[in-house]
Amino acid sequence: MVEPRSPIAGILEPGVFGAAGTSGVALGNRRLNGLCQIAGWDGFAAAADPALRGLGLDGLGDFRNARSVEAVTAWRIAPDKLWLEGAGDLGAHASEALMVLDLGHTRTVLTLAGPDARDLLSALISVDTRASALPPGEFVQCGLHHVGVLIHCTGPQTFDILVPGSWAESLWDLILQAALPFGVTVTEAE
Amino acid sequence: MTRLTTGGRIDRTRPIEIRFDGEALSAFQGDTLASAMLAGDVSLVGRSFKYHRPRGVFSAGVEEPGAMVHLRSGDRHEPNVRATVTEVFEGLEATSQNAWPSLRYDVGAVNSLLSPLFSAGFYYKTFIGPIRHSTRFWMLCETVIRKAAGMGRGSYHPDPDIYEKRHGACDLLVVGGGVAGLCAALAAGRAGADVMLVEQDTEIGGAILSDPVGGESDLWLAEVIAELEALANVRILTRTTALGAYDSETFALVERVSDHVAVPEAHHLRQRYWQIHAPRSVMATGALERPLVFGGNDKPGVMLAGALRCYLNRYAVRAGAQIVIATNNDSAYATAADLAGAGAQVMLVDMRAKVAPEIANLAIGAGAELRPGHGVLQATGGRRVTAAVICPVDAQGRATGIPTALPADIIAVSGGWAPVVHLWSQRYGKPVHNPASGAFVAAPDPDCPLQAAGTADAAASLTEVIDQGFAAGVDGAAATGATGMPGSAPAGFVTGPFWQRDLSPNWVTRTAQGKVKGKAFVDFQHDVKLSDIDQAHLEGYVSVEHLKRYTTLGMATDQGKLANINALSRMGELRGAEMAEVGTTTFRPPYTPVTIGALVGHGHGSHFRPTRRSPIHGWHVANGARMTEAGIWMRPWYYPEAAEDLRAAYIREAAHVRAHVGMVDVSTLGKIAVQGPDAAEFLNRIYVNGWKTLAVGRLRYGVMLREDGIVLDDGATARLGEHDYVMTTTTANAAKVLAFAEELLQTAWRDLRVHVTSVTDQWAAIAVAGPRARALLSAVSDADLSAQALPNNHLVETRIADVPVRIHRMSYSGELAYELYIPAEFGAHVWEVLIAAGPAHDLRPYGTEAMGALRIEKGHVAGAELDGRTTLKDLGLEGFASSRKPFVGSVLRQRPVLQDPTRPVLVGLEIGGEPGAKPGALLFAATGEARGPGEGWVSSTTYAPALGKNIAMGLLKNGADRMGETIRIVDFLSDQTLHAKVVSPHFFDPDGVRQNG
Repeated sequence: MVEPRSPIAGILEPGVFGAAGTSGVALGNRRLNGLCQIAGWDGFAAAADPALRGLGLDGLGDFRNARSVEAVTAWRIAPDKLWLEGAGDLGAHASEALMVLDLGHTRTVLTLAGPDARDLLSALISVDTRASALPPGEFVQCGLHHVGVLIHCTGPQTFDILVPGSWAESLWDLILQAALPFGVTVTEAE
Repeated sequence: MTRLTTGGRIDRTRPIEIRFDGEALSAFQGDTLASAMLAGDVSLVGRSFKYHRPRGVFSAGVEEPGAMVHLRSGDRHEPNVRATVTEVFEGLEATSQNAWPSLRYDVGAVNSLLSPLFSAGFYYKTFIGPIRHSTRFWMLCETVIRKAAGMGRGSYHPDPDIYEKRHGACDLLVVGGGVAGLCAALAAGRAGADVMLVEQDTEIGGAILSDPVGGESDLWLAEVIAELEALANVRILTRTTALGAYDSETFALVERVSDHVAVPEAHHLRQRYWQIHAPRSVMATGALERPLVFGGNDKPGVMLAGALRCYLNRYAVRAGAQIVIATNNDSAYATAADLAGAGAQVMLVDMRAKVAPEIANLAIGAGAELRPGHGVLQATGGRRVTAAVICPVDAQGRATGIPTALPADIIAVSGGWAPVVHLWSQRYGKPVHNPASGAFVAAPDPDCPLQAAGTADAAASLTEVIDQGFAAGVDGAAATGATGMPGSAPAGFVTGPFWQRDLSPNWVTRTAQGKVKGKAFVDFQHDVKLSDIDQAHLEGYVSVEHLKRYTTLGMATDQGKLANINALSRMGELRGAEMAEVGTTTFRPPYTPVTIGALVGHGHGSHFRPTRRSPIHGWHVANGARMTEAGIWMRPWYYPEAAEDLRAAYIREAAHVRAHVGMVDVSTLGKIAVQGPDAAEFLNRIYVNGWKTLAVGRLRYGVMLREDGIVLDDGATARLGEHDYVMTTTTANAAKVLAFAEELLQTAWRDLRVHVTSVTDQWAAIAVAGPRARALLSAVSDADLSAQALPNNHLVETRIADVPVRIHRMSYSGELAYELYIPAEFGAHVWEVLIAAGPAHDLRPYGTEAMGALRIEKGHVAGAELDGRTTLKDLGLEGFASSRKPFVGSVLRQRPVLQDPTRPVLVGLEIGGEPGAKPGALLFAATGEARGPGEGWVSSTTYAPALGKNIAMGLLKNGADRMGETIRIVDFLSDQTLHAKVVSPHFFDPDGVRQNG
């Protein structure tokens, strides 16, 4: 079985870096458990309903709150588009009203955690990262160094950053540099 | 000058030694460079911009016009640093600037003697108009002028420090940590609002820090700070300057994280640039003291009265022993009282004939002498004030009696105060004049999200300051939805008098004849004299904006913080207009100078912009590829063997492809999934050729136009399923094409049920080309790649090394070629599998340079030809355009200008001998003068190993009719002229035998 290779496999070096003292942030990388885009037009909700019910999801959700059911996470990235991680192959649900597209290799996840994670994020994106504005469960789509990313707040101090694979190395390097003043622990790739 | 043995807010347990111009100075933690200079009896600090006049410390804050120095050395050298806001640190080294050969003996000081020549409008009068060939004359003089004038000297070293940009948000931003700002933060914090309080100083307290230590004000301050620090919803940033206010309630701040140490700790920031969004804000920025204007008022030793009090009480430095204080208002009396109390001999010279008894007693009671109805006519001395010439004055500031010279080592001045309204004005326009305070203030508007409070709004008493600040905090919190109870405002404390009561409107002292005595300066940093204002008025520059530009008033690093108000007053007098009518110039960010590093943050060097890398990038680097930036991508340029240079390598690589097999990483190609029941119709509209008949498993080359009929892009689109297509675009135009498609689908073509999604990152792509390409791929996959099973423009799904791969039969090189599309995270693996299988087929990787050579040999157009100027006809692609359907650009491509038969069209150029042509070189007929734009241009050029000669593609007027003609290729930049034969652009295998084989 061939192992997929992370776009940052060549530069991810586990260890502790940056300012002395306790690391304020931990950076890591994990592979998406598949990423499937379903898309439709008028009647999208109805067209997607069978596929979503099969995953235990009820409806399309909104544009800020990610929804997770067991291993499946759904992000409503546009009025007529939904991203699903962990949903497996939804090709069987494709129809004239519902387009299914495998995007599993388009993104990799840079993970960010730690007491200074929100401060580090605020140095990277022009979005309000206060806990009151970006609480656990919410996500934002924004530019990170001009690259479109999706940032999912997975816990009080933890974030998943879905970055396009071809930009991943450049963004990883930037994030790592920005994290050095906080003290940073780079973890093994998952 | 004396360092007092007690008092001050300095830490006497932490002595620090610093150096200025090589001389050691003793300081304490908590000092500024300026306070250390004053304590060390350094009066001469710098030279002025134009006349190189001696300059000393004038203020105690950001408004400082004269005490500017070079700070640090080497790669941390920084010019134009204000000594008044530079915290001392162990090892601090500063040097004077704008002086040569030394600060004391500066050759440039001769300029002062020539000052009549350098009056207002000097540059305009000298370099525009009167002299023939003025521009040339300016060029001649520029170097000398720039050397003689100007400020400090910059550094050419890379900045070694780290800067950060941070985005933040809060409910209420309070700018200024003085009494008003503290009260605002307290009220809003108690109410539960998310508050940011920013203060440019090292400590919170504002004007309180200039009060004597240990007084009531200190107790008040300690209590308020303690309460604020206990509120989790209040963040306090010191050493942080609010530089600018922008649309959507956004503010720019700079936090000086490590400027107070010699070198930041490893990995620590030097400065942080904040971009704050705050729906409500309070401008509690205080006020700047206004200078008075008299002869010699720029000499070292002339200082603002408030600054003198600050140095005394905050830094325990008594700046002089014999001090004359000139004022037109009450505020200077606190300075007089404190200095007299500290043992100085103080003469208070008040332009007002009558002074309220309690105010007079404040100074007199402390031991100062008071001369009401007097003004300072002139400061005398060389590099330092030695005497103040005072005289009785009338209500207009004109001398009415005999001048008297009083020995003085300091002349303190106070002409009232000017509220700091910069942030409000940057955002909302010109401030309005408030005659009662003699100052410009923000226009009152209770609905404005940015409210001024305290002396920034010309509050006339401490009670007003507290009430305004607290009310602004209450209102700001309520406006952002905070529902807590703010409680009541803190009680006041005893403090010095404010400036507004009985303020005299005189800021200039003149002789009985109405003249100033000697050079009287308005702008100390840019050497603008009162007489320059008069001259500008005389010559018709009466608008403040014209005045500024004609005299350079307020243009230097201090941006006229001290100068503008007096200049406007003078212009008002000359015009016979009220200050409100004269108005102000426009306030623009930044409020104080900001380092470029802070603006840049991490966005420099390799992070100037993000770069894209293919999934196979690591292999290229590990195997010695020379990489090149191709737009936003890093791509393998060539793979040198031994000591090969680019030319040798790409010729070898291209020749190898023609003879054997090569592969190139084309993952950078744009890939767009086109999905939906109307996908074929979408393609039919966006491409010039037809798509309705494309079967599943087939692909087709297509060209698309812009709406104006110019070619936008080309590429192949494959049909993967009933409603699924994948479009490829050129690397350069991928984002443009996707955005164009999205725009059409969301506006003009809302009738189409189509989604377009970038899948560039989903697929690694490898082009395998050469006579042995089929054999190589057949060896690693089970797919039947025979010409019968997989002819050109067909695709097949297969597996290579257990990885699903889609193979397109498609050639841009003219060779038998395939494109492999592999899920990106398996891309490198498949590449390595091919490399491993390669030796049996003599496989070599090739880079973008060889790829370009191959496509030029074949005559394929690429980015150099699709340059936003060319049409289908120009490029010989007219045959692709369907006449049976409309498509984007189908109407406007018929415009006469695009149908002009003389337009340059694509041709091939065979060049005799070496060297080859340069892209962009112009084409001319074989004879005649080579001038102007020529008859066309070279678009792409290469050495063609298949032909053994240099070739090029170009666009040539009437090119189709000029086959066989010899023309000239002229590159004016390198003065190179070549001769070339015009041929078909399809140099190699024009019948396609090889690619169809």
